[in-house]
Amino acid sequence: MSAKGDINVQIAAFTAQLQRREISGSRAVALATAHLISRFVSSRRWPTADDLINQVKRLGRELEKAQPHELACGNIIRRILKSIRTVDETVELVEAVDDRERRSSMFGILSVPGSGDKSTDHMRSRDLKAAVIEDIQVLIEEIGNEEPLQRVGTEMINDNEVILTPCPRSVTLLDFFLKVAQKRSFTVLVTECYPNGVEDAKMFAERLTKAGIRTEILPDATVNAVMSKVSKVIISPRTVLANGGVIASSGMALPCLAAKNFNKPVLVFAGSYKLSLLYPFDVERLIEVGNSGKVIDFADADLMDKLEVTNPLCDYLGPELLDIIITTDGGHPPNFMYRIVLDNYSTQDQIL
Amino acid sequence: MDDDMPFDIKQTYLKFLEEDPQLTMPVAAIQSLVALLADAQPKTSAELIEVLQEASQTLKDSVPNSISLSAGSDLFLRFVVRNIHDYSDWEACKRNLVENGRTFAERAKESRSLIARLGLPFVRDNDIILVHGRSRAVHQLLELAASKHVRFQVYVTEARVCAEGQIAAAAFRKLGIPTCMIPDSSVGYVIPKVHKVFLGAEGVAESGGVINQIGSSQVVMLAHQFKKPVFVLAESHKFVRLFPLSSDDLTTETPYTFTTTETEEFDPANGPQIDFTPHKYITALITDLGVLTPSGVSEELIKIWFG
Amino acid sequence: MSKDLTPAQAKALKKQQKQAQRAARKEQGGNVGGAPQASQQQHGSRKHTAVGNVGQSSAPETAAPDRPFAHLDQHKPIVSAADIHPAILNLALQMRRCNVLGSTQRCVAMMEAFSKVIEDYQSPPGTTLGRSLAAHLSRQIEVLKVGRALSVSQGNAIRWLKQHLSAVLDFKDVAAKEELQLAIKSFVRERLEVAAKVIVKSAGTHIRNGDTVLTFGHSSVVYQTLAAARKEGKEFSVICVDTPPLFEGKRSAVELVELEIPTSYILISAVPYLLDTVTTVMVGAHAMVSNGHLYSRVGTSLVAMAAFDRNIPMLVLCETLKFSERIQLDAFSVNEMIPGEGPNSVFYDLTDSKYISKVITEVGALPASSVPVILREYKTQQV
Repeated sequence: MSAKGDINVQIAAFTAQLQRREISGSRAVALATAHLISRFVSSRRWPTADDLINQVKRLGRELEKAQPHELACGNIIRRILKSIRTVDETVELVEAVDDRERRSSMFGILSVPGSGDKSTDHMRSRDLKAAVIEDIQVLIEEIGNEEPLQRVGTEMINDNEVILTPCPRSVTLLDFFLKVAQKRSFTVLVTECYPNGVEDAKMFAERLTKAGIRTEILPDATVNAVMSKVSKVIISPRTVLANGGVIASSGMALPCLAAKNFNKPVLVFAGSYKLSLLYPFDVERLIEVGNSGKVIDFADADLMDKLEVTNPLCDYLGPELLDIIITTDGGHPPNFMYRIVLDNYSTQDQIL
Repeated sequence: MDDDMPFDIKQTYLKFLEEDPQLTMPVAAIQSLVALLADAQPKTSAELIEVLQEASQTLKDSVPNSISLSAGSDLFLRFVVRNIHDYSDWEACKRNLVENGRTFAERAKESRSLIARLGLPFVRDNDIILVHGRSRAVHQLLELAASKHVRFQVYVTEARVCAEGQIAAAAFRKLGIPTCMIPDSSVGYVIPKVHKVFLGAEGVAESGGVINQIGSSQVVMLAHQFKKPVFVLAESHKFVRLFPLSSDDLTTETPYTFTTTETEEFDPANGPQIDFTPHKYITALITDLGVLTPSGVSEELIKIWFG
Repeated sequence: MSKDLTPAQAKALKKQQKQAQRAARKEQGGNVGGAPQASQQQHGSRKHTAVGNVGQSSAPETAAPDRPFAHLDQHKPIVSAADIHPAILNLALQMRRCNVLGSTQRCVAMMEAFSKVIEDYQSPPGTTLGRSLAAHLSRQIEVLKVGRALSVSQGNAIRWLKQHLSAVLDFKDVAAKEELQLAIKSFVRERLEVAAKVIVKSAGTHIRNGDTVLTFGHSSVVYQTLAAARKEGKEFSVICVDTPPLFEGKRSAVELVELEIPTSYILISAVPYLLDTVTTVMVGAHAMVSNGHLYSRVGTSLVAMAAFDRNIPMLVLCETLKFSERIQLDAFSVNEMIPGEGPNSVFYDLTDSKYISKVITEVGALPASSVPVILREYKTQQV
């Protein structure tokens, strides 16, 4: 009982943190979500897997509502749901392997009804709980470990390259460049990201310069002018969508479009917690719009009243703009992401 | 070897199609082969496969446009071959197949409603959608969307030479969908205003390219030129192990001829009825296996043919 | 016409024609389009052209090979001399501080300053204004060049003025002054003001009720077009796209708001987000170079590229005074640092002609590929 009360307090605290953006950045949110769900799962006894799934879904709904733009949270919850389903099905699987296979393939139409009824022999509750918590631990380790991502990425950077990156806020990229710098000598051009990322760009450039990487801050408008000297564009988006497109911080779409027009490869770095089941049906809903005061000085209050000032915080980049998406389990062409996504999630959990 | 059998695969096939207008060609082919299975009573598995193969070939040869049909018969053959080798209890499996022959049609219809459900989010308020020709899957999707009170408008091409656009347009209007019928030659005129293109398919090639009513490829290429997304709605049993590079590779049709005299009366119906749209023009395929990029098709085919 | 010639004969003929052309050009001392080598000099960044007696530091102190624009000249201090007219010095300073900004504005301001220079000019004893003004003007121009590299419009105007000096060679000083000042006035009126009116009329046909026009930075002729459309009672909205450090888009926004045109204001990074609502993109030009590319405020090419990607027509409104005979393929060969900004801040970029739907000039609306045709036509008219 006390454990249950305790977990409710933790959930409330996390929800509030999400709402107030006290916790932000996909990796941090993903980790916090995984830890929370882990404690949630261990806080109670679960008579059946369905029960657990429903409760995790309910919690997921709450968290998604708290911060609809932070998709990492929902991604982690769906990963865990998939894991619960998989754990639960291990027993059934042995009996009904053919039926499952058929349902999920072209043979679906030929599957014969009655040949593989759902087994009622679910795992015992305690085993389920232990197995799920173990899976979450593996997931947590995976989120924290960017080594595989860096390893794949390092192979793609050559000496004397000029890398343009429009995302100075990404910890993943910062760590990556610092890592690669141990092996390779290259130049980084980081875009200024006016108005939302100016400070980040300065800090990013400072950190890289300190590590001996030649780094330049490039005004956003200059991207096309210098693109012919750039050899690769690297981005780290907020979310990778099921079609291989991404939602990224504002200011990434133009550099990637420029790269495409100059036939320069665009590399996308995204930990697997950024993979989403979403398809970009309604791009506008996915794009967060920020404080327009950053676009025009508050000193120009008069002008602001008469103008419609828009400060989108995200861009949608279609799969056609990207060349390779590097996640925890290697690099994939964008048009293959639907498969990775289907491996990670169950389509039943699309809507929590 | 079974020439003297009273069972006529072609007649069976045509009968199935006639009985149920909602039935697609591949499913009709599967049902015909199941019916054959019930009739033939082969003794060994080798004999069974031979009988099926021959019937399947006969069927393919007997209709002018066999691509869609062959998707079904090939799938069925592959299913039988795999199950014969994988399961000791093949007899039970066959019995099941025969006993449930009719359910395949139901299953196929389920696939279409699944496609409609998966495709629903692709239809948004204020959309202007271009549809070429008539497709049951497209119809079902738009029907679902209209029933969910999504407000959208549809351009329907006349879709000569099959000229089924009229039927499709009438059906859309009946559903209360604002519909505008346009001649095929006007696609270039309306395409800048269109938001997305929906297309059915007779067959989906290994590459994810689409074999469909003639005119599809030009509609899709125009859409591509104007950066409009093209969604193909197709049941996975239409995936076919063919990899044409152009419409020319679909050899089932009589080509157009050049003449210098007016002797021959111009009849478009004598020309090809289907064409091929390469995968690079297609944004996504909405199938009962999920929303796939064109490369996903080859993955599914590989899974059942090499797995 | 040369069908019956052998290749050798054709070659010889061509050579002959070329020589004749060259001779003609020399005689004219330039032309409207401007000779390529001359314009190279104005913007010449690699070559250190004679910039008077100002400092000669060849490379910027912080030259870093990785900086994309490390090869460009740094701005030098503006140094005055006794014979430099205060109006010129002031203009040089104003241009350096980017207070006088934009190809049209800079050209008008320069011509006005020249008018004052002429007004106040005292020809040295023993010579006439007609014979000595050219050298005097050249010294003024050198100071302007230190202020900022001459714009293509300024370069073309200067060439015209120098050419026109020959018309007053035998005039008395007073008459010469009067004639030159009148000529300057009518030059500005014809090549900029009247030209703009013609362009406005043509560009206006592209604004319809319900349209959303996107514009980048500031352009006087785009502004005039939007104002005229508004005056005609057309209902449309405008998206002003801006970028640091110059924030010229804000100026556009302020002007449009005053006309009560519904106006949105965004930064360049937000262009992809709003582009789907846009019906037409309209921008001004610094210059159209002779291979059909647009040389204009940095960022223009990004806007054009994004518009092209979504099939949104991109119109360039450009007086022929801004046509340059220069060939340019990238934004490195010719460019200019923005004074007082970071080491990667440049004024211009180059927009590929394939992104441009239409170039609207006072001599007609044409595809970008026809820029060299206009240049040639002008040349033959002048010769």
